Amino acid sequence: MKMSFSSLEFLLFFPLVIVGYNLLPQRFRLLFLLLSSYVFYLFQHPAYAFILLGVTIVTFFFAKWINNRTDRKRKRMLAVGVCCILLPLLVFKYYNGFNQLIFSLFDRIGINVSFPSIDLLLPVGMSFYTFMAIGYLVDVYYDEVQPETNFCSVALFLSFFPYLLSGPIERSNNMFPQIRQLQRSKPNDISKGLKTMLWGYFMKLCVADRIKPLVDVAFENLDVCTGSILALVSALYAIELYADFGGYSLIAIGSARCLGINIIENFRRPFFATSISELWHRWHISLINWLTEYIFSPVSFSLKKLGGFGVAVAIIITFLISGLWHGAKMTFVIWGLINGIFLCYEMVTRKYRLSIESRFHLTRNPLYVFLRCFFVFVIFSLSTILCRCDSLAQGKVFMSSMFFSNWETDYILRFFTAVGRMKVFIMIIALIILITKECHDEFSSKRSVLFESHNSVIRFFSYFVTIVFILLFGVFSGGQYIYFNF
Amino acid sequence: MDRDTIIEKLTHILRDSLGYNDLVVTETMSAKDVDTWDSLSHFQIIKKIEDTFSVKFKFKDLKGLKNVGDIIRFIESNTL
Repeated sequence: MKMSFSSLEFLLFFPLVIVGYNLLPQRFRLLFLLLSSYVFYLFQHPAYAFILLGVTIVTFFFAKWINNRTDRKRKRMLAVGVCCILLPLLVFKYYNGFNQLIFSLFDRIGINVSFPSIDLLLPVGMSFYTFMAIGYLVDVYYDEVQPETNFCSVALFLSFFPYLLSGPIERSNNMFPQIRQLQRSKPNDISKGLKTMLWGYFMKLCVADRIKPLVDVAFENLDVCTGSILALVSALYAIELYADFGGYSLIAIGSARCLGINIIENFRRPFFATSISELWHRWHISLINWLTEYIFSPVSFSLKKLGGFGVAVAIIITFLISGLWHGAKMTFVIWGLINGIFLCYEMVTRKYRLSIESRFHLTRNPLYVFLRCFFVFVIFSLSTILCRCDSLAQGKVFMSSMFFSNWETDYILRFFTAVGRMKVFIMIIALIILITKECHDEFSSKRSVLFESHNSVIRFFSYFVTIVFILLFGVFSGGQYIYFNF
Repeated sequence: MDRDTIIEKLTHILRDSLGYNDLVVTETMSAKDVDTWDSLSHFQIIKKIEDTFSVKFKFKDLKGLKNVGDIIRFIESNTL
């Protein structure tokens, strides 16, 4: 019986945690939240909690040891600590993939070599808390934070249930000050937190889970799908991913906010980005911040003698790691490489593009801005659809079918009929609502006219309509969140 | 090297690296104030500062640089 944000168990668990947290004296809140977070994780799989505890113990002690050492030993201790923390992730996530890679490489030259495969399921959340633990050790190494003396604080930092399963990937310098205080929730926290969660549920249950059947049907019938259908599916998958992961992140942020804890924003209307580099300031912000801080910055710094070429190498390395972090498949590596290459292109051509835009006042032209957004969306969705493919071979089939098959739009109507017209209609309505809110939030400086209206009747009516829409049209059997797989 | 010279040379570096010929550099200016000053341009700026002022940053030094004023103070304390 697994507990996720959209399960009935969570709808019972969460209010109990809020009430318990606020009724308890301050000195018991840390332990209460820690126990609640582990109860939440035990619902995933009891064994996972032991692995998390093991990583927590390693993190706690290595942070102390790093702090007590001098320069050369500090570095060695950091390296050992990072390796110890990474080891479970490497085994669970990459061992079988690495084994297959070795096998296929040797197989090409006629040698039959492989290591014994291990039947292991990646513990949910491991990719996320591993990165958080490593970030904490590095921050201690650079004296950005002092090592936490309270083991329970470190344990809560890594296991906090709102972000445990799929992030956002938090930083020690944001979380530890809040963990040390653990104030009672203010009414404003509960209000904002619940509103954020409500919108997150809408995105996940009414948008993401409504798009999913179309994408699944297309992938089950790739051989008969036309180019127009696959192009549509490619765009829809990007939106599904955003609504699923963005929705999850909002639920995580909202549930933390109900406890008076502020965690990092993870998405900021990514499809309004006018460049790939801007996209990566709006998409999975916590991951890109982590990669920038702990991978890109040190690599670029060490390669700065190479100038722009050094930065380009650092970009490629960072995005290859990003791809691998998502999964031990070539499709993720190619995805990372595509994004890295486009970032390099933008870096190299930035000056020229800026001068042309300035000379012709292009950035004031709405059509130009729209075309840039569209181009970025196309690149992103074409690269991201690879992540949906089971293998590079399937990715090749998808791309060749998309580019070289029929592009008549009639086939899209037939595709909708095959999926179910009512289902498609509801999906379109949900998409319109999402796009309307996104446009409003992006272009309007005023607060949302719905959830934040000064008029309490409008406010409560909008909550009511959203809840009813979720209850009537939300897909509650839509399965787990996509990023649980990472 | 006097402060005015440092600011003048730094302004030239930032204008050239960030693509804004009319950029007005102030001590409180930071990466957040300029849309083209991101992690991609940051290390190229650092390299140009090192070459122009004959200074050498350690990686740990970069974490303490929050704005242009910090960069100026670093250059002042590391040049003759």
